[in-house]
Amino acid sequence: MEGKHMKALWREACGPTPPGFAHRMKNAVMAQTQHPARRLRPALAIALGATLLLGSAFALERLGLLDTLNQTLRGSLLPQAQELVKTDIPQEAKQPELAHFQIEEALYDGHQVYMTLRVKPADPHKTLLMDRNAMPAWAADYRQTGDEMTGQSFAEKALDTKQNLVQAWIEEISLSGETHFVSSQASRYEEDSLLYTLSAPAQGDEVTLRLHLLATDIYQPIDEDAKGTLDFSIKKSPHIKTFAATPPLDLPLAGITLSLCEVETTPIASYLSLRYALKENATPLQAVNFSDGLWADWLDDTGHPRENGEFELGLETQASGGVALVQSFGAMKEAPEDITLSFYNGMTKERFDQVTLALSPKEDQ
Amino acid sequence: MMNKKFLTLLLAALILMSLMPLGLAESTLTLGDGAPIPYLKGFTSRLIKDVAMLPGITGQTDIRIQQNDGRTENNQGQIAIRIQNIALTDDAMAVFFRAEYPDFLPLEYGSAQESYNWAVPFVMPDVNGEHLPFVNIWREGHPDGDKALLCLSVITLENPVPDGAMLSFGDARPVMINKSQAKDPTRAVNPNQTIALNYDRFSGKTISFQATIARVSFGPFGNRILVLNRDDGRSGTDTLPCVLEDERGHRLPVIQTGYQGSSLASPANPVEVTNEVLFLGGEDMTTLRLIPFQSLEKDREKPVPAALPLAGPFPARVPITHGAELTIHTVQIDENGCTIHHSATGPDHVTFELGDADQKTIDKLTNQAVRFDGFDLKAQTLVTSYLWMAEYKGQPVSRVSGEDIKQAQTLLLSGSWRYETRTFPELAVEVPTQ
Repeated sequence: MEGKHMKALWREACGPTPPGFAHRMKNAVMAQTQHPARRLRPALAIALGATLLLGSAFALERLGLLDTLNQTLRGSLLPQAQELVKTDIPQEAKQPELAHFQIEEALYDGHQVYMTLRVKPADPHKTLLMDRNAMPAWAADYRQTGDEMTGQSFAEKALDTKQNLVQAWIEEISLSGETHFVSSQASRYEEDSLLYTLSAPAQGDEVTLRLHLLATDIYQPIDEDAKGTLDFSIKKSPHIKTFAATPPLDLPLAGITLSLCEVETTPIASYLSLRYALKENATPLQAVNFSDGLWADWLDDTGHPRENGEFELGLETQASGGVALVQSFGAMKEAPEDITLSFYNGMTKERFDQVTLALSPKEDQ
Repeated sequence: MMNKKFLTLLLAALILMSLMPLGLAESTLTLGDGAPIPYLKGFTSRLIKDVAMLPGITGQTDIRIQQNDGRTENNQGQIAIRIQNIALTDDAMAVFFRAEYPDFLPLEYGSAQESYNWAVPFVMPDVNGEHLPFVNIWREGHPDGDKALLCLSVITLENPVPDGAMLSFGDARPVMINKSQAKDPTRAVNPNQTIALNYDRFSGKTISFQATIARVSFGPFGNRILVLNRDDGRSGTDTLPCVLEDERGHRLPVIQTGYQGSSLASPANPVEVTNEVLFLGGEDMTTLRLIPFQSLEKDREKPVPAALPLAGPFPARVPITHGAELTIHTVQIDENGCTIHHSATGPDHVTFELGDADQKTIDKLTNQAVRFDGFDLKAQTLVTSYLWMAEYKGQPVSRVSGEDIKQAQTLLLSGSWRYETRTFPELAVEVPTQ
């Protein structure tokens, strides 16, 4: 259960302590596990692993948005998926000084906006681009080889070619007045450019997104010239369907009340939304488990958890004190008739209630 | 008339001058003043090797600040901090203070020592108006009533803080450090010895490790090697990939302190970073031997090499890999969790689990526990705790039952994750320490 400790360390370290200390604490904690020398963050390692599975095909031809989705989603796309993809998207940008960003393709399946974003150096002779997760010591071809510690580094390559090493990424996405920190950005290198695949949750028939862009010489402080914005709008696909169970439902082992259970299906993915709160008469231990982070797996017919499709979605504390859990999974060919959920403490992995709920189309309720 | 006015002014000036030393005294931290340290009354600190080493380096003060509670959960607003003593060597600054929470002590792990340590707020000084460059912070606390803690923060330093420096905490008035009476018992050498190692740190992975041993010191807040690492972003995250020995071949247990690297470092742009290795023992040694080691991935999980009855006898010695030995000094189990005092003479990371009478792991005690790694300089041991006590609304909540705890009869030791260690004595580097 060291994750709980790390969370606690990190939570406290991010309080009033100096940033340098937070960095130190993180390193100290990581060092305790005696891992071999690697600088890859775990979430990045997973993302990178999934990306590398796509293999060299990426290098051979230009990729469409659907090709760049993560493996879980890509493996179960429905035939209508391609219809959702929009190209030639009108967009307005205030570009950073060192790089140009352009939306290549986007789709809005009714729950999530997915997009590919091409980043090119403003001056290819002067600039070598590096993606958000890379470090200057990493091999410049790490995306092809999967080995960031062998081969010419980004820094050495930039020195050889007398280019400035510029890290370009999307810091935040604003959407309907809400700003989302972009925690995971799948990236590919194509010729001199970078291709990012991003997604953000959305609501409504048409949404306008503002991407907050950054392109900065890694050896210089970030100034206003390094920042930019890109705005575009996209309409919702009509293919989304919503299925709902009939809560509220008390879950006695976890000591919670489930107030919402909805599954949205689209040709791209299926999304599970749950809302639950601690019952008033919950025991102190149930409250502790809830505070640790109470998660739910969507179990398949064999009783195993279905594989998640996105890293950004997760557990969110609501103003009411309850939590909302949103997870994405592969698209479903058939409408779901029921759903089996297994609730567990994300830190200790202790399992609590397992329930199967009937689902019905939301229009009928 | 003129004379009367002059005399009045002169008198006023004399009064002011007579008061000035008092004013200065208030803003001066005189190290070695012999003042009592309330923190140490009735409490044995794990962060101090020998309290007899403190009087010559400690000064009394009375600095009061309000600090925001940094916790996201159960945030209590403002914590009243009162700094009572400060000790200073060239290696560490120790800040002794009282912290009073508005409502209750945030004891996230019951009444275990680690729970009090965790409740100690971060208190960091500025020196001459700048953030104090530090290597690590170690915190410790013990209760002083229902809402307050007596606290100790030991801040290990990149560079000595000079005599006459102005020390400030928050918006409180700065104090000037006065070392004129100080007597530092630290024994230290500053060899500035460069080490370059090219060898397989991992199987098939050669590293080019380069560092400077800037200082080796034996002080009241621990024995340490101050290391200036040349970070090229490729040579790993070891401060020093070595086991430590004295000139007689006695291994010295190492306290893990982490590695601070630079995200900008690369082979084209190496960056010098400051780190430290803390270790136990070797106070009298004349030569420190640094023996590089290799971490080898095992083909399969090693079987549990040892199961010790909790009833003892302790200390118990267990061989680990390549000549290294693990000593279990004490094991204590209570309603908060399990605390093991141990020392190891090799870098292998040992995992402890509680087992039943048949030496089978008790999953519930293992899975529900939060692990803490620390050290006890007074006892000269490493301290590993597995705590299963939690907190809700200021009250302790046990994650396990008394029956679960009663099942625990054995301490199971397992080797490090997927790696074991091999040393390279032929590559050893010797550092004179006298």
